[in-house]
Amino acid sequence: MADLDALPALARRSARQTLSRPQFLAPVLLLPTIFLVAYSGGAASLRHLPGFPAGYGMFDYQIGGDMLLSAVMAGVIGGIAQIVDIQVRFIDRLLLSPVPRGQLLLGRLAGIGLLGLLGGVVFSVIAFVFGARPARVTDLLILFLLQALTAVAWGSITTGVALRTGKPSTVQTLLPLSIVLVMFSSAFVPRRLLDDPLDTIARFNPLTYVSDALHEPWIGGVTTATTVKALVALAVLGLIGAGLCAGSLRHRVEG
Amino acid sequence: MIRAEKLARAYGDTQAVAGVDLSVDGGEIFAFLGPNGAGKTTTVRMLVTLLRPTGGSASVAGFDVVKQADQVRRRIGVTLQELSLDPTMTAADLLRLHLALHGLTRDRAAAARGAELLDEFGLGTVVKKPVLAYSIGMRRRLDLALALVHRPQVLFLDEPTTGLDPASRQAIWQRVRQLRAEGAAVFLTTQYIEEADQLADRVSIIDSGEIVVEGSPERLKATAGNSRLELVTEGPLPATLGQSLESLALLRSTGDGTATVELDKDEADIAAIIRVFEQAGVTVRGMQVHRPSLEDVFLAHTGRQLEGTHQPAAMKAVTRG
Repeated sequence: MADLDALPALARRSARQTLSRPQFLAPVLLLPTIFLVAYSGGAASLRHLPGFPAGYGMFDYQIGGDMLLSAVMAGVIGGIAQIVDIQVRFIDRLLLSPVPRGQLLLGRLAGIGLLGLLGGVVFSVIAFVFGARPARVTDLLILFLLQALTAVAWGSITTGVALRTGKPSTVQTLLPLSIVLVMFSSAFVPRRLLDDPLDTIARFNPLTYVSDALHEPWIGGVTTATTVKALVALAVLGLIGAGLCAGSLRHRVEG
Repeated sequence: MIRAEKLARAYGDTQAVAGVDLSVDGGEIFAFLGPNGAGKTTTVRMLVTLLRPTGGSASVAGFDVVKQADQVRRRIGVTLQELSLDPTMTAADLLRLHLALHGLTRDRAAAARGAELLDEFGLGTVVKKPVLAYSIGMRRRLDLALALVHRPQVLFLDEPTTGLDPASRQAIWQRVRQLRAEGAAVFLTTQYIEEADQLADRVSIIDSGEIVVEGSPERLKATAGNSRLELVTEGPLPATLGQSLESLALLRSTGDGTATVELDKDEADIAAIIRVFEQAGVTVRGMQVHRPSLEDVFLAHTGRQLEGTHQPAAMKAVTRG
């Protein structure tokens, strides 16, 4: 058996598991939409403050933040889907197969990435419908890549927690916690408009750097420096998640 | 095919499995019989590489379950007590995934075999329905079909018929016998005495994590004493009844309207025993022959009865009057 033979099937199954359940899609699509409507309408006058990107409206700024929220929610849903697999013992079926355990995890994460990408596509369409445009077409591709990677990185952490604890309540707690972390970043308000302690928290919050990169296609255009910072932040999150997953799987077998 | 030496698993101070030795060959059905919590499932989970032993060693199909776990997983088929099925997936989805997990995506013969197995297990018409819509029996059959698709050398069945109706149980037994005939080693755990009795070539009784006795069902039952004739009587039992029966059987006990007679090995003439009772002025209203069962074997070795067991088929009752 070639090393990655089972990966497409595992990714497909992971994606279908989430896409077939409306309760899994709601946080990825509905929740950011509510934020988009609320902030674009209810906080529109923020655009007049000094420090807000000149020449752009609140909607232009919000769309990047909503994409971050959508990607993070895709990651959380990945963890919840993992818990469902543990509860129905489907994880045993996967662990009983000769597929290396790393590949089982990759399959799960690839499915989470697809869910993240779906959020990116949906919110890009919404952005287009309401008149927002990326500076360049390639910006959109970078945006989709970041969206998928954000979901994968965050999903690796939630999946690791799910594998370690096996408790739905613990993983469900990650949902509000993740929303708070998104709120404590530059997702919905530009860094220059944040005061301490929120500004300090945002500076140490890796999601801020991802948020900055997701805003760029809609506000001024993608820059290499911001994109690299986002990729570094995602790499850090991904490494933490990968370590957590590997340790949790080992713990699951060693008991 | 399966070897274990002093296989052990501890959770803190609790010893779930305490040094199990066992050996199962190809073409053999080996049953692990014991009550809930005896250590059956923990043993299976160690042998199928889902749980790491804390002591001893084990190999399956010649591969160490810890050091060569991947090789073990290539050669085994497993159905677990708690069905590992995603209820939102269809049988067709599960079959496709199973083929992919075993590297058989491009193996048309394997795919055809999978479809045949689903048909054979009566699932051919529901392959596109989600598992959620299946009965417990259908889910168990699906689980077994999936476990067989990649032609495993060793099959682990952890309580495969729990919750099944008699017809479904018989169908699974039939298939397990067929697998034995094809040369597979079958490791079966059960809490149903009848299942172990009917299917197994060898039975190990496990209690509190330790194997208390092992052997063929016949040999084990032979060690559990003779058959007993239990009689429902009318009229006082004379004190001399035991003496009158002496040449035929041993009067074990008498109670209010009952008598128990231990038969010898070849189960002497029951009609003659009834005649002795009637000659003594005792009317026999009913009788029942109780042959030694694996339940008696369990009782003899542990001093307890097996919980949740089914009565063996050896029990037959006749009532008259």
